[in-house]
Order: sequence, then C-alpha cells, then structure tokens
Amino acid sequence: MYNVSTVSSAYSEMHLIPAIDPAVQELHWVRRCRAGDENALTMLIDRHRTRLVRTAANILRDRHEAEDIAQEAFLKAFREIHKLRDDRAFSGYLYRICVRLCMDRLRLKRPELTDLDSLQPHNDEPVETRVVVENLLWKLPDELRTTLVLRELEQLSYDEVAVVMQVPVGTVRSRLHTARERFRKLWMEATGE
Amino acid sequence: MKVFRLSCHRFQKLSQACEERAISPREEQFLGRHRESCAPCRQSEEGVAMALNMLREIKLEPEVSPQFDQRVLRRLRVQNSREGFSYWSPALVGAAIAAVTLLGALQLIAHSPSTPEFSGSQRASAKAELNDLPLLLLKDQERSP
Repeated sequence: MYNVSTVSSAYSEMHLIPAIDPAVQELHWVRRCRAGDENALTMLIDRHRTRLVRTAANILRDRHEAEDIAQEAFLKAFREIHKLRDDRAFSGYLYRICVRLCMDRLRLKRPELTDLDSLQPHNDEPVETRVVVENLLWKLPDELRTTLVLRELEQLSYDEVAVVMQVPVGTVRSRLHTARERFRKLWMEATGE
Repeated sequence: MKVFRLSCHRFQKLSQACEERAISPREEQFLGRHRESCAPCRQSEEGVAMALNMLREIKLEPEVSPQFDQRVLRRLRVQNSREGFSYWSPALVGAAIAAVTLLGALQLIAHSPSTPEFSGSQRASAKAELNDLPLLLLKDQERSP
C-alpha cells in the first residue's frame, strides 16, 4: 500500500536530489517506493514513461496499445518490487517486464497485412514505404523482430538487449544477424531490387 | 549463386563487431579490401544498410497522454485495494445473502405438500387412456388420405 500522507514531506526532499547522479537518485526513489511512498512512485513513472511507451509502440506498432502495456509494466514492476534483488537494476527490470508483456501481446496479435493495392493513391511516397516496412516487420518471428527493434530503433547496446530479453549476448548477436539478413531479403523482394 | 569463402565469413563477423567495439586498423583494412574484391558481400552490406535505414524511418515517437500518471496511480490503488478485505467484503456479503435465500428456498420445498399420489384404480384408468391414444391417431391417419 502506498501512503499518501508521506507524499508532501517526501516531495521537497525529492527535489533536493536532482543535482546528484541520476542513478543515485533512482536508487533513492526505488527505496522510498519499497517503503510505500507514492511520490517516489510518481517520480519513477515520470522518468521512464516516455521511453517505455515508445519502446512498446515500436514493438507493437500501436500507440494506444503501447500506453496500455506501459501502464501494465509499471503496475507489475511496483507490485513485484520486493522481487528486485538489486535496487540499481530497476530500470532494466522495468524494461524487461515491458518487453515481455509486448511479446505476450504479439503472440495474441497478428494483424492482417495491409495490401498495398488497397491503398488510395497518395502523392506522399513515405506512407507507402511505411506500410511496406511495417508489413515486413510483421513477417519476422517475434524474437527477431523485438531484437531488431530494440537495437535499431531503441538504440540499445547488445548488453542492454541481452538484459531486457533475458538471453545471452551471443544469442542477441546471432538473432540480430539473422533478423537483419531476413529483413534485407524481405525488403529486396518487396521492392524488387 | 554466391560462393561463400572463409574471408566472407570473417567480413560478416567483423562488420557486426564494429558495432560493439572499436576495430583495429588492420581489421579496418581487411574490411575495405574485402568490400572491393567481393561484390556479393558489398551488395549484401549495402542492402542491409538500406533496409535498416527504411526501418529507422518508421520509428514511432508517441506522445504520452497527460493522464498517464494518474491512470497508473489509480490502477495501482485499485490493485492494492483488491488485495485487501475491503474489496472483497461486498462480494462476501452478497454471497452470504444468496446462501441464506437458497437455504430458505430449500426449506420451503421440503415442507410443501408432496406431489399427488394416485390410487390403484386411478393409475389403471390413466394407463387405459394412454393406450387408447395411439389407436385414435392411427384412425385419424387412415381417414386423412
């Protein structure tokens, strides 16, 4: 349970910390969050929400669903915060939950691929390119697609991808190689190059 | 059909390694030389670069709704209250009321007058009526055509 009464007293304290290293600041918030401080919780949401929603949106290709998943990720992370062994690992822990939820959602969701012929003639070429690329992404298996998105769109390092996807770095390397190669082939087939 | 050589394999490994670490000048030279001499590797590298550029162009940068924080906090409060007794108490009261009503209904059924019992002659006459019924129907069927 989060004690709202501690909010006002903690709030002023929170704003004294920004001069400190963000990692230390986050560590402080995670500890306060464990103690049931709702304000620390708000601070953590504020820090991670944009990136979390963006990550989910790029994996799921759906903005609304992404917000829903990000909210669920926060709820799960706060509910199971006692399971976190190292408070410094909160960020990775949160993204891991988010990516796992996205993968679960991907398994349920297989949208019908948009047929290019069904599109209205459009002067703006990038719209067509966007549709082609999105369709190609859906053709990749979930693991490859997520690895590719985390690396190429979210710019995560290999180590970060490994942490978030809970696989060894070697697996990230091979998945990325396969994903790029398949994506290239699909792209070549689609564009006839 | 591409003939895959040992140097092609090294080229692929090195071009991926560039992303993770700084490669030595010697490795850099090897990559350059291989690019010049091996057209399939060069084309493959260019193809990947082009496809990935297209992928980067569709990156989504969604705006987070202003109520996001409030929604998370509200859901968190609901989640916390669900774990407590206060959330379940109305359901428990409802279940108790339903159980009492059900017990009452069962009692009423148990004490209501029992189903009518027929004497031997009544049973015999009912049986006779039933036996007559198919006969009448058959007669009707005979007349109908």
